[in-house]
Amino acid sequence: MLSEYREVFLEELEEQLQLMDDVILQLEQEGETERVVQDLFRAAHTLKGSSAAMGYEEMKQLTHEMEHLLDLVRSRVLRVTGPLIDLFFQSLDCLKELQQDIMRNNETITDISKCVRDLQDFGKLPDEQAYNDAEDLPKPALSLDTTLKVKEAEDQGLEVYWVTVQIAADCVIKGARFYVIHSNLCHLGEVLYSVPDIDKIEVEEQGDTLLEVQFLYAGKQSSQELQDLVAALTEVEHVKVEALPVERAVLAEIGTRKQSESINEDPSNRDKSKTQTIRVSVERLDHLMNLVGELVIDHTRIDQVERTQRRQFTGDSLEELSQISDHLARIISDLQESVMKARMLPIEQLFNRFPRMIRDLSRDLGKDIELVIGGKDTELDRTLIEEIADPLIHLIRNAIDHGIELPQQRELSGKQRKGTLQIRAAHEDNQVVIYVEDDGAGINPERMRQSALSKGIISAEEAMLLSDREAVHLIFRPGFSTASSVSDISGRGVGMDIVRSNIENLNGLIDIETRWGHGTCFKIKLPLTLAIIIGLLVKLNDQTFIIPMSNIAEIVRITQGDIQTIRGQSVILLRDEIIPMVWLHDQFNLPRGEQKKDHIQLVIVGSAEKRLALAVDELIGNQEIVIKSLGSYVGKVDGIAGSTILGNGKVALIIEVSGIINQ
Amino acid sequence: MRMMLRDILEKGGHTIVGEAENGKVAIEKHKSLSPDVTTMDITMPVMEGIEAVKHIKAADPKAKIIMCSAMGQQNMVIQAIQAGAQEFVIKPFHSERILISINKVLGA
Repeated sequence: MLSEYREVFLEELEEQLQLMDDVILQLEQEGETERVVQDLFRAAHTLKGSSAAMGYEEMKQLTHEMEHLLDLVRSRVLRVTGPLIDLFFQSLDCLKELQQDIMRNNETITDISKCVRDLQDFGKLPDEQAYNDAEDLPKPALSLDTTLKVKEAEDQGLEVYWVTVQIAADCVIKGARFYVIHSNLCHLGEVLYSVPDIDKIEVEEQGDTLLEVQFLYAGKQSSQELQDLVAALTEVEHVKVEALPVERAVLAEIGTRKQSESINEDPSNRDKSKTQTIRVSVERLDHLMNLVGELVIDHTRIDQVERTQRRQFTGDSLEELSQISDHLARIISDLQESVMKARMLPIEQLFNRFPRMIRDLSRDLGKDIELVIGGKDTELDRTLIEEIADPLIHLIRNAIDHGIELPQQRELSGKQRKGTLQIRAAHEDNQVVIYVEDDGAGINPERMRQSALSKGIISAEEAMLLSDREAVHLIFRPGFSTASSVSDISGRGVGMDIVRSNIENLNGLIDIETRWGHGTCFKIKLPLTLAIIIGLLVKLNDQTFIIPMSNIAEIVRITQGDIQTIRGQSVILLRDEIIPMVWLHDQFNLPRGEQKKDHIQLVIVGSAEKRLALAVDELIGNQEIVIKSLGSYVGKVDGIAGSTILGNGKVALIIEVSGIINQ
Repeated sequence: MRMMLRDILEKGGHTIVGEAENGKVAIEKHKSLSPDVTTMDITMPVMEGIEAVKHIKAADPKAKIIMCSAMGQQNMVIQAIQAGAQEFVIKPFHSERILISINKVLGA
C-alpha cells in the first residue's frame, strides 16, 4: 500500500528540497523577509507532514526541528544569522542524504542525530542571535485602517501603546493563552491591532509555538498601570509597554501601501501557478513515445507501399490512399510533437541546483563569484536534462576551480574582484544550446601544447603543427589535465574527455572558445529529444545506414582526384582546411564496391575541432527515425548507436559518429 | 474529574457550593446558587461547555467562568473565551496552577 505512495512522496520530496535550497539561498542573499521565512517554514512543514505519514521517522524529526527554529524566526524570537543559514544548509544536506536512503532501499542509514542536536541547541541559544530584549524588535507597519483607529483613539484622549507580551515556554495551548490576554486587554481598553493577528491564531495549527505577541492598545491607563495589569495575568512571563511614537502614524501610511500591494499580489499569483497539471510517471510517457515511434515507422511503410503502387497502377483508390496517408502524416507529426512536449521540462529544474553548488564551491575556494543564469525556461526532453547534469556540473566546477581566479589575482590583472559565471540555455535551429561562460583566466594554448607533450598525448611534431584552436581542444583528450594540483573539486584529468563523450552519446556537440586572460566559453548543442531524430539515409554497397543529422556539418561531392594522402591517411582539402577522410565501408568491413561514378559523396561529421569526412556510395535522403536499441543480446557495438525500421520494413543501423571519430 | 477538582479547590481554601453533571444542570445551578466562580468542562453530555457559558453569561453578564480543557482543544477554548469565559486551565490538572487561576479571576 505504502509503496504506491512512495513514488508520489519522493516526487514531492524532490520538489520541496529544491524549494528549500532556493529559499535558503534567498534568505542568505536578501536577508530575512517575512515571505522567505514563510516559504521555508511551509516547505519544512509540508515535508514533516508527509514524511510522518510515510513513517520516515528521521526525516520527520529533522524537519520538525527545522520547523521549530523557523517558527522562532517567524515569531521574531530568533534572528537569521550566518550560522543559522549554515545550519539550515547542513540540515538540508542531511535531508538529501535521507532522500538517497529512501530511494535506494527504503531504509534509513544516515545518522541525523548530530544535525538534530545542532538544531535543538541553536534553538536554545540565548545569545546575541536571540531577540531577548524586546527593545530592538521592529514594530510592524500599521495598516491604514489601524492608523485611523490610532488617530481616533488619540483624539478621544486615550493613550496608545505597543504592549509586547511574552508567555512562559512551558505554557500549554499558547494560542488560547494569548486569546485570554487579548480578551483581558479588551476589557481594560481597546486592542487596535496585534501581531500576529489574534483572530487568525485560531486557524493556525502552529499557534502552539508562539511565544510573543505585540498588541497595539489604546486605553486610559498609564504605561506603568498597564504593565502591572498585564503582568498579573496567568502565565505571562514578560511584558513591555511602549508609547507609540508620534511619527509612527505618518510612516505607517507608506508601509500600508506596500503591505496591501503584496497582499493583493499574492492570491493572483497563486491562482496563476495553479495551472491544471497532473503527475504522470515517466514510464507511461516513454511508452507513449514508443508507440508514437511505431506509428512513425508504420507510416513510412504506408508511404513506401503507396509509392510502389503508384508505379504499377493509377486510379481513384490510389488517390484516396495517398490522401489518407498525407492526413495520417499530419496527425502523427502533431501527435509526436505533443508527446514530445509532454516529455519536455524547463531546464530550470537543472539550473536551480547550481546556485547552491556554486555558493559552496566559491566559499571553499575563497573566490567571489556572481552567477548569471539565463534561459531557464528553455525546454528539453527530461531524459536529456538528467543526462546533461553531470557534464554541466563538471564544466561549472572547472570554471570555478581553474577558470575564475582568486579575487586578489583578478585585481592584479585589472578585473573586478567578483568573477562572473554565466550559464545560459536557448533554442537554436531545433536544437538546444547551453553555454557555460566564465570571465576567468582562459586557456593558454602554449601551456596546453606543453602539457600534452609532457604527458605523451601528442608528439613534438604534432605540437608544432597544432593551431592555437586545436591546441585548446587538446583539453578533450583522455588523460589530459593542466591543473598543477589535483583538488577534490575538479582536475582528475579524466574530466573533459568524459564530458565530451557523454555529450556526444546524447547526439550532442561540445565546442570551446577561449581567450587567454579573458575567459572561456563552452557551448553544448543538444537535440531536443532522444527518441526520434532526423537521420540521413546513406547507402553502402546495398545496405542502408543512417547518420544522425545533428552530427552532420555538411555534405560535399568530390572527385577521386581530390583525395590526398598525408602519412598514409587520406585527407581532403575543404576551404583550406585539412579534413581526414575515411571510407565508411571500411568501418564495417564491407567491400567498397566498384567506383562507377567519378565523384564521391562525402558526409562531413563532427564539430569544429574534430571533423571527419565519411565517404558513402549514395545519399538516399533524410527521414525521421525512431532509435531502437540493438537489444541486450547484441550489446554495445563500436560505431553503432542503435537501429531503426525503415519504410520497407528492413532494419537499418544508426551510426554512432563519436565512436567513429575517436577511432 | 469533578472529585479531583473539588479536592484541589477545597485544599486551596475554597468552598464548593454546587456541582453539575452537564451544561443544562450547570445553567440552572448557576441561577440558583450564583457562585463567585464556575469551572466548566468543554466536553459534557446533554449540553456542551461553550453553549452553557453563553447561557450563563446571558443570564448573568458578571459571571466568572474558568474553562477546563484538554490539550489540543485550542479552538474550543478560544470559542469559550469569545463566549465570555475569563480563564482556562489545562488537563491534567496541576493544583497550583488552578488555584492561581481561580484567585486571579476572583481578584480581577
